[in-house]
Amino acid sequence: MASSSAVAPPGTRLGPRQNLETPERVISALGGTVLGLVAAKRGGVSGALLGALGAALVARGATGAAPVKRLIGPGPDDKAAAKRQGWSSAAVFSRAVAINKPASEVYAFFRKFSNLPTFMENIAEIVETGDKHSRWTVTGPGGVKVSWDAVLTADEPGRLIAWKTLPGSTIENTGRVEFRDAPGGRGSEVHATIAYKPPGGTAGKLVAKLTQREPGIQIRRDLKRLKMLLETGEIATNAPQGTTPKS
Amino acid sequence: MRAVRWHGKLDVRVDTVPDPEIVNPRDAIIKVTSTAICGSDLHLYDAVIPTMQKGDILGHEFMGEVVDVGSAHKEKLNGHGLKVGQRVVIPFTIACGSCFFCEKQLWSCCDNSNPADNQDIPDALMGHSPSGLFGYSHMTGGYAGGQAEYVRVPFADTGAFAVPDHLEDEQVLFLTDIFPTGYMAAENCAIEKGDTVAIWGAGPVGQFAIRSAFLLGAERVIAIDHNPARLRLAAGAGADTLNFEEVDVLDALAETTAGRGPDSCMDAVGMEAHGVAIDNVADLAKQKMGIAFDRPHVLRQAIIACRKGGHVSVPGVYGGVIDNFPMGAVVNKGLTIKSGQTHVHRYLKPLLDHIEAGRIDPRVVITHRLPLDAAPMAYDQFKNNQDEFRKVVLKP
Ligand SMILES: NC(=O)c1ccc[n+]([C@@H]2O[C@H](COP(=O)([O-])OP(=O)(O)OC[C@H]3O[C@@H](n4cnc5c(N)ncnc54)[C@H](O)[C@@H]3O)[C@@H](O)[C@H]2O)c1
Ligand SMILES: [Zn+2]
Ligand SMILES: [Zn+2]
Repeated sequence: MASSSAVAPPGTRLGPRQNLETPERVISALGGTVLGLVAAKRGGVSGALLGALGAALVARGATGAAPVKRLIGPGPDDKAAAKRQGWSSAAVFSRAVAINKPASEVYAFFRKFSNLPTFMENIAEIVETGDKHSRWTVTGPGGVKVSWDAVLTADEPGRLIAWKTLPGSTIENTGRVEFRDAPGGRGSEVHATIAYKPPGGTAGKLVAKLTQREPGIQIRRDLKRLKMLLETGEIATNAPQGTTPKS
Repeated sequence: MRAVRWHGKLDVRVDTVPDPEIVNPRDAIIKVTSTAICGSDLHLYDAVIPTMQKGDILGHEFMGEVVDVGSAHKEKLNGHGLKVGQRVVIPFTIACGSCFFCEKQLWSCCDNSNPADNQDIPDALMGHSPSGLFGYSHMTGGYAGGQAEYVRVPFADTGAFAVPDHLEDEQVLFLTDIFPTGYMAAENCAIEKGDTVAIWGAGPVGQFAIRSAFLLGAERVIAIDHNPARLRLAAGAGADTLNFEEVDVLDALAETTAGRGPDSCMDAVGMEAHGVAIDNVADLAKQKMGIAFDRPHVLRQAIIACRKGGHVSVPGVYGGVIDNFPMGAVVNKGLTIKSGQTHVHRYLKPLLDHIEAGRIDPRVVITHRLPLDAAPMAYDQFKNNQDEFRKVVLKP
């Protein structure tokens, strides 16, 4: 049976995708046009890329769907999470990925927290410190290492894993990962939602986004790497070629 | 090692760079014995495909000898590990073999071969990311290409295809791309007995498409180009030819099909159409200003020419969004459009059989065999002297 929207984690509501008000759509489209014009002046390949991104923005303006909108202000999910956690503000990111493996297998891999750093780029290490407790060390902007302790808040084999940081952590966050068998026997779906209290509020989020360390991008890439690892046994890379001469 | 690197628009150089090494368990390192320059490389040379970076190693049509393999081959995972010393051709599309798309034989749609970070731009521009490709910009992987002495081949246990020793390199090299590309494009024409197929572009892809269309049972093939030698080669394969500089293509096609139009129409030209048609001149201006990637003149023409209920097959490469697309004709004439980067893996064995049986000789497209160091000249000539430089094979 297909799941109903009631079980969808926050941020993946199955309602209409159009979340831009009309004036914002006009601005988005105009922004796209401006990018196009800037591109026209710059010319060359970066110009062409800008032009295409401009075109993508115009398309967003036309369709009214705007993932980038979250940059400019908290959305309803962010506000709800902040309220639930008792934080001054919250940023919620959710993303799903389809994996060509049964949900039970994906759950089992994920439940072993020491596996997570193999596909989560910013997580340097996770040590399981007790039955329900683990110590996470992440590499933040500028390579600074930050650690926190987390406690499992839900663990349903083959179905759900959730955790939250202990009070007083440097970066307060919660995570919830749901595993479901996909319809039609097509492997499984992993739905991940991360909420965190942004350091420095909205501004910090923007800065983080610009340095590509922002969890919205991170969660998407990390889930893709999880998928690669489970489906192929390795994580695709174009790693710079080595320097040792061939034998 | 020596490798052909992209330094910017119309600027490729042969540089000395570090040798590649095994990174992942399923990798292999190939010592390249033959590698070709493709029409797709011209789109990079002309800098109309975004996300190239200075220093990128070019080339996606290559073959050679396995000189090193990752641990998965040694353990013979999947039962088909490669061995050092094997002679192989490498599909230009990189595919994992185990995702939803690979299992459906849609190899160029593989979910897992484009590194996660490189998928951001295609995700934003196209909704989803295609597979990784060798030497073809960072939005399809940023992988080092095959116009080099050595190449690292990811997922080599799925991609690398062993070829028999009694066939020389030039007989099997084009299994890497243009023969499967022409063949898949002909398949996408859904040819039925008695059909007439019109093919725009008599470049290497068009040449294989013409021959494949006949293999698949076309009654008549019409090749359209303006390079006389390319049209002569098409005629040699049994095609009728149209020179778009001498005739009005739409009029000529209507005339020669008694008004009905070709049963299927193929765009084997892609985003850099030539000609002074008014829409093409406007597209050229937009491309020069950097506000458009593509000049879809041929695609528009193919749609208008195609008979009602017919198939439009598009092997030609496009990169972005296009203006003035005749959607009304597609809907009201009930056309089917099929396209794609080629699912090369699907065609390796069946097309090798055609070569072995002598039903097609891929060597006919080759005009030049040159050392790797001649690449800068070869790119320049392939762009500016197309009629003479039809297909260049480089020998590293
Ligand atoms: N889909 C794939 O997987 C795939 C694989 C390989 C190549 N390609 C693409 O196929 C296309 C052709 O490749 P190629 O190697 O044969 O390139 P090519 O540049 O050698 O040939 C293109 C031919 O098109 C002709 N042409 C240009 N404008 C025309 C017009 N208005 N009408 C008719 N003909 C016209 C040119 O004269 C030339 O002979 C390119 O876009 C290339 O990127 C796609
Ligand atoms: Zn090619
Ligand atoms: Zn795959």
